Amino acid sequence: MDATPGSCLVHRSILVSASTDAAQLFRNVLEPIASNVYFSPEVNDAFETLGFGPGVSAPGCLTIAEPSGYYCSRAACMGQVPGDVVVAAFGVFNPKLIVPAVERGWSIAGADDVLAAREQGAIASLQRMLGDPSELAEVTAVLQRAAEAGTTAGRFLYAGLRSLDTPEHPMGAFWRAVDMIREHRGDSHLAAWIAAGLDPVEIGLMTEIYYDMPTKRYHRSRGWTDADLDVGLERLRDRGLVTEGAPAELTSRGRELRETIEAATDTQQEPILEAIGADFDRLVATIGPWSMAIVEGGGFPTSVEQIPPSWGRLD
Amino acid sequence: MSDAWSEQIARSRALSIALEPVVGSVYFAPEAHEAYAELGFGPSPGVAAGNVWAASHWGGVQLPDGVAYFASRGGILGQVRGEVVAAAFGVFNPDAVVASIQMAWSITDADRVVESRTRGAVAQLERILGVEPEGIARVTELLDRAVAPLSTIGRPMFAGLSGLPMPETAVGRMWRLGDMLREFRGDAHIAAAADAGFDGCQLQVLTERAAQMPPRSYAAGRAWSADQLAAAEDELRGRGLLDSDAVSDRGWDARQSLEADTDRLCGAMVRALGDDVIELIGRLQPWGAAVRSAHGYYPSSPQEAVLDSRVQEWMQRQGRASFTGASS
Repeated sequence: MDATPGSCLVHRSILVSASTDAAQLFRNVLEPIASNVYFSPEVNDAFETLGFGPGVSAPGCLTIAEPSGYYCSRAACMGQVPGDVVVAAFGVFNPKLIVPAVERGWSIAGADDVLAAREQGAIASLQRMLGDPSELAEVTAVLQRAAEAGTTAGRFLYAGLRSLDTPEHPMGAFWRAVDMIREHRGDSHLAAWIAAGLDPVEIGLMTEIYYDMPTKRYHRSRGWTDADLDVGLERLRDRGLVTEGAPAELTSRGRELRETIEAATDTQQEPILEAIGADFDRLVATIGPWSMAIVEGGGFPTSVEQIPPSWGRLD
Repeated sequence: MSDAWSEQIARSRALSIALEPVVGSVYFAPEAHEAYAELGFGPSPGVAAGNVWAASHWGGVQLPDGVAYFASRGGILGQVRGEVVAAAFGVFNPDAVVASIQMAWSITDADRVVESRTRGAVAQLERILGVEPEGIARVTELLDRAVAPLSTIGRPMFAGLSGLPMPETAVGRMWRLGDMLREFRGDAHIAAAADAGFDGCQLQVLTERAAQMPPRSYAAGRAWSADQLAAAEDELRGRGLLDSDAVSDRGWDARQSLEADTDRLCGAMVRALGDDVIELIGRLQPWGAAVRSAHGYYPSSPQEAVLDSRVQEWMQRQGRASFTGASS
């Protein structure tokens, strides 16, 4: 999960309305399928078997994988890499949060075991919610064609996923292709905001404001403290990207920059969308309802309020 | 991104060019090649031979064994998969990188090959510059100041180096800090290229043509196949960046703009140095020249090969010697 707008939040209207922007629509359709792995009891059980802690929950919230399990399981596709490298690849998390949590994670289980648990849990979770859809093989073939059309240079999680063998289970193969496309977009987004000269606190705050999310709430879950966020807001004010006063709004320049970054992210997905070509509408019409079924089945949050407030907090 | 030239761009570029032969010398260090061979990697293939262009481009340096090169630099990321090394290096054919890393991790592990890299790099520099070169304390102090404000976010190679133990000798500390600046810039360059929509092969072809190197000379050295090179050339022609086999004006501008974006992304290091960046460049230049005379680095680095004449003008205004690269 990165600072892709609403990446943890998919609103029903996005799925049912015909978006004019294929890249945006595609992201919203894929996100619950790819990221159910972070909100899945089957995955959390598999991690507990390895020795990680239980999933984290709170009243009115979904249960999310415990932080070390989340970070290590998402990073393991790159190999058993040090925490500093995980920080670099994830992009939006506070290094003070990630580095010790990754070190702890690798002391509990190795990368190969974590990957196997993640895959096994993801398959079981998606099967529970989606059953055994008859279109699965056809859809997977299109998604695999798309997933292989991405570019690895500068895209670390996508490159890591590309290095793995395709799961033998049909649901696993489907999920892997979706996860590859998702991480390709996340990596592209990171390259776009890095290239725009922003840091994770700045892009995070701009994203929250742009999408009318409660300020600071989402990015607290990335290990940034109130103090970090206040200083970041001040930097954005100094650069004329947000207004004075509370709540801060994006200035027209800030809005323009945020939209430029999103457009640059979309543009980087062109090889993937080109590989889907004429199959796009049918693909989205088929898997859109699967995505909604995951959201409605509590397998992916519809709002930031559904993420346990203590998760990923440093303060 | 804007095309405006600025003092900061000139400073950032000049610093990277001055650092390059000093810290990039690790890849041509006979001491490192020997250390890798002791671990079980192949020996250095020796000096470039086979064609006039390669012999002149590499100019008598001892080239690295390919597998040892990918493992020793890639191992900075830890015990990582080959695809991720390819993603981080950005400009090599992933197939070649993946096969090399797979072989490398059957020979040794990341910690050992990275330790050999450090030892070999430092041994060469100490042989050429001495164990306590004049001004080493001041250079190290300035490099340390430049590294201090840099973030690991989105910079995997820099992040990997940040987690390594600091070498114990004076030259070792200087080299590590310089390598951190070099890789930070490399990470920034790859992010800027990804954002600009270039894949690794397209980027190498564009650089090669902008530098007026013969078609498929430099880029082919990054292990791309003839088909991959042809596809990259077609894509660049389609975008108006190549005119037949030569770089177009738009292509030259696009390559310069990418380099300037990279300079901007390295702004924090030159801002931290202030005007002392001029002193640092002046102290590094004779070291770089000494390394080159001893065949520790090749005659023209990639940054020098596509040098903007404004960098040379900036150097002249600072009273510094011009860089060696040909400018357009």
